[in-house]
Amino acid sequence: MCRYRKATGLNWYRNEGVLGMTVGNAGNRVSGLSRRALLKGTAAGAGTAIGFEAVTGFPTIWAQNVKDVTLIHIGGSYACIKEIGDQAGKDLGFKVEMQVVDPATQLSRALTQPKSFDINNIDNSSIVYMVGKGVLKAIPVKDYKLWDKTVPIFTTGKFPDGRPIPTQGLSPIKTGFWTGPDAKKLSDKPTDFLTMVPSLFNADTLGIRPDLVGGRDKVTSWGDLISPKYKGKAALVDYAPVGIIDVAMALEATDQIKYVDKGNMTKAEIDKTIKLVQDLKKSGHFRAFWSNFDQSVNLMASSEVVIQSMWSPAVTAVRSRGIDCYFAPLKEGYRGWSNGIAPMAHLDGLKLDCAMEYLNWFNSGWQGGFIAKQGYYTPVPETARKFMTPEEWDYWYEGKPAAVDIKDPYGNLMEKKGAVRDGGSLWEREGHVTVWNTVMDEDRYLTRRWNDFISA
Amino acid sequence: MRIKPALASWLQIGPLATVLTLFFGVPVVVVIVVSFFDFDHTDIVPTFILDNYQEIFSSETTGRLYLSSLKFAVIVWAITLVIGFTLANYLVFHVRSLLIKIGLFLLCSVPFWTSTIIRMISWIPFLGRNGLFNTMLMNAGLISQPLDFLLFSDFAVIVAYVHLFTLFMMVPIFNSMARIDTRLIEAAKDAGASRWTILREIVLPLCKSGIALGSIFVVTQVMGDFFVVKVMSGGQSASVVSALQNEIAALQYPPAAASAVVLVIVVVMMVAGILRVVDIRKELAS
Amino acid sequence: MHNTIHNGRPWTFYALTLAFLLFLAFLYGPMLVIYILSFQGPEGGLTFPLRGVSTRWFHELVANGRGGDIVGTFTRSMELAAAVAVITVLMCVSAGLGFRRRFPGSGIVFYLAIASLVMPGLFVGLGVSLIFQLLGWQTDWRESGLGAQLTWTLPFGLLVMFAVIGRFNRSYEEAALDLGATAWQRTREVTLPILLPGIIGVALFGFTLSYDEFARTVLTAGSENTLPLEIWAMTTNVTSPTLYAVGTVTTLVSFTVIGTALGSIALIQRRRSRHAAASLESVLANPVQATDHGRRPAMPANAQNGSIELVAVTKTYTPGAPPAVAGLDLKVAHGAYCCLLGPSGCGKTTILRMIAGHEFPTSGDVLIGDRNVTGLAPVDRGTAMMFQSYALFPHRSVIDNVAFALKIRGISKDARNATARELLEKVRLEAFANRLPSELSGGQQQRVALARALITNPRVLLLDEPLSALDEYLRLRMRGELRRIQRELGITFIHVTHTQLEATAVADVVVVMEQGRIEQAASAREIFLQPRNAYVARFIGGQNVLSGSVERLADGRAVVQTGTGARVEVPLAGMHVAPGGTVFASLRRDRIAVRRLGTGEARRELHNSVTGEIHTIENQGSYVKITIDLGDSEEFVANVPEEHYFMDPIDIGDRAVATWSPGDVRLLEDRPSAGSAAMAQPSPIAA
Repeated sequence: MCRYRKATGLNWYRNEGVLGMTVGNAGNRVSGLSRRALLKGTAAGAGTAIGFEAVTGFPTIWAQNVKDVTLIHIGGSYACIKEIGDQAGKDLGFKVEMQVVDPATQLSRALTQPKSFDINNIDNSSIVYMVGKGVLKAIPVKDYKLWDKTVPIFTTGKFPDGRPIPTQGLSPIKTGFWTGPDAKKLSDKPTDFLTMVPSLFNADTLGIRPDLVGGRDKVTSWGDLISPKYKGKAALVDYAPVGIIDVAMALEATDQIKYVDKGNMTKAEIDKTIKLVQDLKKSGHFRAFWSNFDQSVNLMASSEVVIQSMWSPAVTAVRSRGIDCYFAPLKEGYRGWSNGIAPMAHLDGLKLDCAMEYLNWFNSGWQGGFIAKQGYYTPVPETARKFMTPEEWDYWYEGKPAAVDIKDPYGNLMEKKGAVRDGGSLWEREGHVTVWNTVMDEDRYLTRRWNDFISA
Repeated sequence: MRIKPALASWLQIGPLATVLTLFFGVPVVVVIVVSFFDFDHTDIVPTFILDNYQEIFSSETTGRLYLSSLKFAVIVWAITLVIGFTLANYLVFHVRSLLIKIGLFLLCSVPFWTSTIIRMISWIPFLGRNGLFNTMLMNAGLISQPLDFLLFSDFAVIVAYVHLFTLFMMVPIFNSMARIDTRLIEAAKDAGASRWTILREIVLPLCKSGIALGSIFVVTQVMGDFFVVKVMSGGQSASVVSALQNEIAALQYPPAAASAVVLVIVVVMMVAGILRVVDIRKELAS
Repeated sequence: MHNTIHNGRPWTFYALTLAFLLFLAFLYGPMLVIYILSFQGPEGGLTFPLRGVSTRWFHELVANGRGGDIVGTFTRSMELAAAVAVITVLMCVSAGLGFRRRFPGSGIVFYLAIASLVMPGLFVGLGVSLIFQLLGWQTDWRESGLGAQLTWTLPFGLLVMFAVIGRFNRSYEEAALDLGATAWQRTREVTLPILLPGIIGVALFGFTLSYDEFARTVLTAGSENTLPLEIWAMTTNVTSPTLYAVGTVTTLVSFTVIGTALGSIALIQRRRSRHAAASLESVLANPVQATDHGRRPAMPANAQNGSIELVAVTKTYTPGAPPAVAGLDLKVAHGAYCCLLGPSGCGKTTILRMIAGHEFPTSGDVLIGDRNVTGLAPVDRGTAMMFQSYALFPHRSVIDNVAFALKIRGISKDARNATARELLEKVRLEAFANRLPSELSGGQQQRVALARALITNPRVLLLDEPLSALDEYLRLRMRGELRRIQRELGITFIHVTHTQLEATAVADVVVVMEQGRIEQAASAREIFLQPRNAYVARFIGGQNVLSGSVERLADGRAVVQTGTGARVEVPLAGMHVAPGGTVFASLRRDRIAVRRLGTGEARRELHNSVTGEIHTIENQGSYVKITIDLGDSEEFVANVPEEHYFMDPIDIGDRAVATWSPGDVRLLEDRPSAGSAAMAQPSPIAA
């Protein structure tokens, strides 16, 4: 049995991992900072935003070695972008290779081949799958220089206006901290050990085709997703943990179910939800269930669907084709989510130093400016601001009408002058999050019931 | 010096057997073992339980999934058989030049060098509500409302399967048809047999090994598919494997492993049934 | 019934052409969508008509990283697919050939392959990645990715190979072995070229399947994506038109790559065939001078002695089943023309193949030229075999077929072609040297096969039903030809046939067989004059078999009463019979006189005569074959010289009396003793 655990790689508790960790940290404490400082001094480019004090006079061997280091960073293509890796390479002196994979593959690889990559760029809710596996390395808060500048939903669990963030689903706080350096158990309140460095976040809602539903003001509630008006013209994401939340928002909005916690349903709640949505499916309410970005764009762009679960870049992609699409702010609020990067447990020595260096670089502005133009927020907005024009900042973060044409990171036109971001400013949107992306305790049961629903 | 025939045969199939054992046999043992394990939330617990199988056999979804997969398998098998047989018949008996035969074959295989993922999404502009086909029908005045069943439906799934798998049926049938001695057909003609009789009494029975091979290819591919059914039905239908894939995506390996074991047993039995009707290896030895 | 149109094409041709075109349209419909929509304008949904034309989507692919690493992943996928194709071909050809035999464990491997075809790819990938992790290896598309893909392409390839190998006649391989090819030479020169279309098919299958494989590769590719993985990942970021652009670009590149590959193969082949044609012409230009090079290859020391001895040879194919050959002893002298004669299934071909070395006895020994060759390979026995179907290599010209054995022995092209031409002259086919076997008539193919068998200077030539595929006229001519060549060469011929006329016409020694045993082995004349038992007498023909019980013994003769009451005197010729016992006797059909039973003539009880009704009458030219119905099951035939018959022709239905002299009756062994030694010497009078 014991042998098996090791064989599957799904459930190992490696003492040596913990031990290695401690030793590694001790080493860092002695020389880590100096090394890092050295890296900066010799290899940092002019574009580096956070200036460490340049230290000279150290032997150049570290700088030489660093050239041969390659970090493999895997993640979804919305976040794991080649340009970012290239820029990091320019600024830091070592190589960052971006490998784009789909979320299911990423999870499997993190658990079955944790050594096949170095930086895990994941959704915060996926952290629960890593619990107890020892595949991630805990990040000491003190080694992450930008923690103080990070928006408070990650650090204290509060909105900037002081309200506590909602607790339904897996909030950034619930998944943000390990109880200790061993990276074994999640803490439900802030500790000194981060599970990941948050790298972007956003708030999701329904996407609609205003031209086909009769106007932007025609859809104001999640309940419209299941409104008979849109029979045969609605779609849902075919990913159980997200799809069920979208459905639950709709059912709750139409007073069909009252949940204790939508983000962590009981078996009975799951059964009731599936039953209702299954009836809807049988009545032909849903035109399709999409499973990736492109499909969701196609459904909208080809007018197959007028209202559906959607992600921000998909809305932008439809709009960039000259087809009106609206990421409708709804009165029940948004479904929030965040994303982060975590170093893998196998890193040590120089490579670990480089990884920590990379984590610090990541939120130092360049990346934030880049992804802002895709419609995502960075957890450290003030650094990103330096890499955006004031007009861009006003449009993306402040919710002001565009003073100039808005371009995407590659220079393609996204929005014409005068346009306003759907839902408004950062906190108008993010501040109305009422539930977070989640992995429920009844995950296994949910998957089974979701399969029942899809095959019905 | 002479090598024992059995040893010689083992040497010949050795490399293949080794690769299959290492990369399939061993993993499959792991899958079987895991299928008896329990798990909580995301951890696999190595205790021997039958719950995973109990869940499969007690859930009515299982029956529905298998029924749906079998339905697709049978329909697609029948369609690809008719098309594959007809086209093989054309290539073997009606196209005279070898060069043209090869050319037509290449022409048929070129679409397969484009990613399946990309080819699947290319059906949307064609079959969609506002797609080419509906537009044509509406312009021709044949329909007044776009036909919804063309896309995101079982119909679309079958169209895509036929598009993907006809070649798998056609090639083996072509192979066995090309083996038929044309003198047999001449003899039948002399005996006064009509084209249809020749086809039924001579060509069809002599092609049965090819038909069996093609059937194995088509049936196993349809039964093992998750991608086409998901994309072309717009997520409206599921197959055994798409349900299993959802479980893998949620890292629930033990129940997924149990479904995989059940699926493999079912499909191997189907293949064994085909082999019972036509013993491919016997044909081989002759 | 006038459903043919001009040009000789039936209407079905046009109907099927239309069907094929429709299918192509169906196949290419989505492709056209891809090609066209990849050029659609920057605006507009996935609908026709297009809103303008642009290169925006290609730009998105090339100008920034959004399109993913198309170039790198495409190259990787091409490499991987090529490697998978090569490995699949190698393993499947080898395994396909190995699977022709059923042997312990073959069923397990076969079903392992089937199960592997069936297993959902995701699980194969998952399992492989887990095992790599267990072993502490890094997953990599070159290793784990390749292995995982092979679990799919191998079963596919294997099944395709099955279909192809089913077409492959095993006698091609045996012929090559006979002619001295090593296993490797045989594979390279014969097996692979004949299987080439199938090999190309498997390679194409393997390449196409692997190039676009997703489920097995996704967890095993390691830190680098292949193209399908990259495209799959791209669907989470880019939209369809960009993916269409990927489709357009990769199709174009695949076309270029595969077109270039096919083009260069065609070019190489054309150059090679031109080269071959040139060298052949040079040989044809100087046929005479070539004779000097006709050095024959070295043979075993006792090459001259082509005597054959089988000692207690038993061959059992299926354990438990009756043996095909049972404890058989046979001796054939050097230079004899020996015919193995018997009905199909009597074991004669098995004996031939055991002499050739294509089968091995279950027990017993085979000796050629006093040397035990039981375990030797065909090429070491100094034998050559001519196959029933000739087994001419369909992909080689006549002269290449004939010269094959010399090529194997490394003789230069000029020399071996010269020798081959010499032999072709001997069989009068020199004008056909350059043709393919399929372009020859049956008789010509037969002579090519003969020439090919003789080129190694064998001491024994084994002929498996050599004349059965020929028409009557050719068969008679070739019969004489075979005999002539055998006399000319002075080597031993073992000739298997089921036609007694063929055997008696050519052979010095005829071996009559039944159910794996020898019934009689002697000269043709001796067998005709002295058949050993009822079976031989019936099979060899020209004899009536009489049976009855011994009434009394007198003057070295037995008086036997047959079932119909006739009394027949049978000379004992030194054999012992007991009064009252049942005996069999043969009676030569050409020594019987038949006359009409006179009206009112009483049926007399004469010795050595029978009475019955005329059943059939056949005029055979020089004699008339009359069948008389005696009222029992045994056929009674009299061959009456035509001049005797036509003096007073009797008719069917007439009653007749047949009489003979007791000197034409031979006593038969009533119960042939199984496995008794048979000594066969060439009869001096047979010539």
